Amino acid sequence: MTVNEALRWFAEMFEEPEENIAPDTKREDIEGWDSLGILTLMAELDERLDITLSQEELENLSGIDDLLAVLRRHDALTE
Amino acid sequence: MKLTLDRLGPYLAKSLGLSEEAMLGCFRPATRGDFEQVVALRRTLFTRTPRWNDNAYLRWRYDFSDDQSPVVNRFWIFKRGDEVLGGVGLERVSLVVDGEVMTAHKSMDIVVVPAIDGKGLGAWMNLALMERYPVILVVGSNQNSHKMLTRLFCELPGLQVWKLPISVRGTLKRRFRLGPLAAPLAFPVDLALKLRRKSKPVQCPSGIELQELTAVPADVDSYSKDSTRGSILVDRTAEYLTWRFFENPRRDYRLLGLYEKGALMGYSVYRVYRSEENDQIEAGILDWFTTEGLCSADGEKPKYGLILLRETVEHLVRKGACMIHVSASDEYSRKVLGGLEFRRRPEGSPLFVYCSQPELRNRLLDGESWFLTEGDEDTDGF
Repeated sequence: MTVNEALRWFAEMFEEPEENIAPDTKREDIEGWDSLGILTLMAELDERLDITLSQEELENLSGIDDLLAVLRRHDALTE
Repeated sequence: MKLTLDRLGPYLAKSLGLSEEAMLGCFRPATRGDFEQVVALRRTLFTRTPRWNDNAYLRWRYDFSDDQSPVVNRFWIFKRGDEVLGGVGLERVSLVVDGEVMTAHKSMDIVVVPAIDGKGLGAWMNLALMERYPVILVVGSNQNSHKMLTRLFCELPGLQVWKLPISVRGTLKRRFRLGPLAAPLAFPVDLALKLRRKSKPVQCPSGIELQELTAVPADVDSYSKDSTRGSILVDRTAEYLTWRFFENPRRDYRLLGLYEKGALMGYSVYRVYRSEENDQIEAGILDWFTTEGLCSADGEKPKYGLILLRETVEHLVRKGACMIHVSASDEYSRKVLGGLEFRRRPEGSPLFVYCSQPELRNRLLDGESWFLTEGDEDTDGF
């Protein structure tokens, strides 16, 4: 998927308007990246891309750029 | 996106290093032996020392006995080994839907230990309760919980705050630092407010009187069921009102009864306090109801509602209130409050509804049918 497609996907996942989600958006600025958002994120990555986040990866997610980095590491992102 | 326990549970289990089955076993009503841990967990999460006795509050609101009876209010905990990682309170309420009484649960007081905050336990506990209870309500939200609640529950407008200014003297003195000038400057404004308040004629039959009561009369037991048409509300029985307002260790509430020739026609519950913001006396009307029910569906003009709140307002003015606030959700209440010169404010508390039964859910999602008051919130103004 492209970066733009990934951003749209994250917006849908966190139920945020697309314009609120950009590569430099921080976790604390995304209201939907909460207790429910983290479970949804794990489920979506697993079900859609077969990506299982490690505890370390989970704890180090601080914004959208970290999510994009996860996708890159798993060869799920086309530039 | 599908937000279910089946789908999301395995990911929390992985984060917590538990099997799904073990995780379900960790979630149960707290008993006597868990009480101190619940108190300690809440204490770690308070941003400042609470202005109430939290032990007394928890013991009042929830049953911590070892009996696991489902017919009482329980505080559910998630306990991994010996450690309570989170919890959520459930208050059992009787809901009157179009005159029929049914059981529902109000969810409140959710807590998660900071070390695992953000892993999904709060959402999981909500989903786990939804598997067990067909109707769950949440009144109000905060910055941390709002988004999650909007996704797990259906959000309705809920309560809107209405205010009636009685005197601006405190505001002039404190906010504008006018000191001794405040009283003479406030006088014409206060007079105008009084004239405006009194200019709204309320038809008041003879033989009407307002009485301060020390106990909730049993007469109210039939109010909710008999006098509501097309409405949804928590059943306001004498037992429930006594527990909610007069056994409540967090606040000192008072009760007024409106009598007509000796018959109780309605009641109001109020609180008079000194506002931290303005350092002036303010009053809140927490709950109220009359025998005429919620007559907006028929387009009738409220009669006893207007009389009850008008008399309550005058009672609170005599107690020195400079500002009176009421929270309301429905057309009937809006008619009453608008008729008494209350002004609607932007602040409010949404109502979140979960219902597993499609037909009932459609009924419960009609936001205009809900009669809610501040008494339906669990925060008691804190």
